[in-house]
Formats: sequence, C-alpha cells, structure tokens
Amino acid sequence: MKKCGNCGSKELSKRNQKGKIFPWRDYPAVQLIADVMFMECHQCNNVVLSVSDHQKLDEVIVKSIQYATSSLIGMILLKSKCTQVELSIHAGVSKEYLSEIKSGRKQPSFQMFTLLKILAFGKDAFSISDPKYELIDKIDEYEAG
Amino acid sequence: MGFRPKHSLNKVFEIIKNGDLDNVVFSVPEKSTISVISVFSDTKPKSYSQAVEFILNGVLSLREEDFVHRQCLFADLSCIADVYGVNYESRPWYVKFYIEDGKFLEQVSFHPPEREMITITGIKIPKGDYTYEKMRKLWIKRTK
Repeated sequence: MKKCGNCGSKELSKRNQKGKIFPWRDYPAVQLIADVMFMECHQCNNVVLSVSDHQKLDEVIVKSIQYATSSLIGMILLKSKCTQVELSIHAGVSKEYLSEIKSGRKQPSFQMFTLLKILAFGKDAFSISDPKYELIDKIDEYEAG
Repeated sequence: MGFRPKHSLNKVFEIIKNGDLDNVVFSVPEKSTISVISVFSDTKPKSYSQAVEFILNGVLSLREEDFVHRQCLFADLSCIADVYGVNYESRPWYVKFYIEDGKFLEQVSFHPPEREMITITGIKIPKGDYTYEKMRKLWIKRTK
C-alpha cells in the first residue's frame, strides 16, 4: 500500500494504537490498553489494516476487555467491601459467570461491562444496585414533581 | 466516469482466494470493517476477523451486473477504483476497491449506501442505514 485510502497522502508509518478507540462486536467503543502497531496516515490519522492486522486487533481488544473487566471487578470489591457472590446478586448474574469474566475466560456483554463501570465509579452505585433497594419513596417523589 | 469496470473481477477473486493475508488491504477501516461491525452490533455481533470474512465473501459474490461506475481517487488518474452496488445477506452495500501493482487489493469501502445507487443493468440498490457514520457524527457533535 502506497497511500492513505482516506486522504491519498503517501505519508504512512507504523504507529502505536494504544489508547485509541475501536467498536467491536456489541461494544460501540473499546479503548485499546495494550501496545499494537498499525500503519497510520500522518495527515488524517486514518489507520490502514491488512487481513492479519484485523486478527491482531481482535486479540488486543479481547485482552483490553479482559484486563479492564478484571480491574473493574477488583475495584468494586475493594470500594464496596463486598464479596463476589454479593456482586453477582447485584449484577443479576451467576457467581460462576462473574468468576469467568473476572478471570478472562469469557468476555462480558457491553451491558455487563457498562454496569461494572458504573458500579466501580458511580457514587452510591453499589447500594442503588441492591435488588432490595427502596424504590417507592423515590418514585412517589418523582411523580409528585 | 467509465461504463465498464477498470479491474477484472476474476483478478480480484484470484487475489482473495490466493490466501496471502497481506495482499488484501483495508485502506479505510471506518468505511469497511468498522462499518460492518456497527451494522451488526445489535443483531449478529462481529469481531474484526468475522467482519473481514463477511466483506471478502461479499466481494466474491459480486457480478459484472452489479457494477455502478469508476471513480478517480485523490485526483490521481493512475488511481481508479470500481464502485459496485449489491444486495448481500439481505442488505444493500456500497462496495469500492482497486488493484494496486497488479497484486494488492485495496478495499476502500464496504458499507450501507448513503444514497440510492443504480447498477449498469438498471438494478436499484436502495439507500442503507449507515450506522457507524451516524454514530460518528453524534460523537463529534457531543465533543464539540
């Protein structure tokens, strides 16, 4: 390949894509948290990928999701002082599934990943995610305007 | 520009079937593999390898009747791409590619058409739902 397919520039070189965002499967965006080098246009930052580059991209995305998921679960357990069993009840999944996504044997769905992000970083998110969380007063308050 | 394809479909098929993974280049992933991933994200989620397989099978399904027109890229008369419109796997697709140096297939586009297309045989390929482009515009708007 001699030129960028987007702008036609011939200034292309291999650059690290760590930190860049790519959609993948049901994820609208996954941030790469591992090093991977792809040809990139210096003018428009378009990335040019061969078939084998796509395979590498899949591998790096899976690693990024695994690493982030494991870290998020660790953060929730530490911050909320709960067990994996309690977290699985709050998230509405089995403890086996939670264990599998924590160890990287499975990738969580985008919805599950988003829930973990909210539980890890949202103020009071863990207590709100309690299935027994009191809703009636809050709904009445909302309905009353 | 041009009523016949610049690049022989047989040559295109030969490059794909040859199996040399680095002879097929996706020169604008946002308009090909990334676009395919976005289209299927809520129905049949695809990895990048699966998106590549989907596109290559889509290109292999092309016939000369699906040709729409030639397009000169980057105002470079030595860089002429062929544009095709095809209904593939129950969806309309805009397909654009060219062959470089006689052995590299540069896959420029494989995404839902942004507007209706008419092939040289008069078949209408309807405008598709260009999911990724809509999402990208939304993100740009939000970050402004």
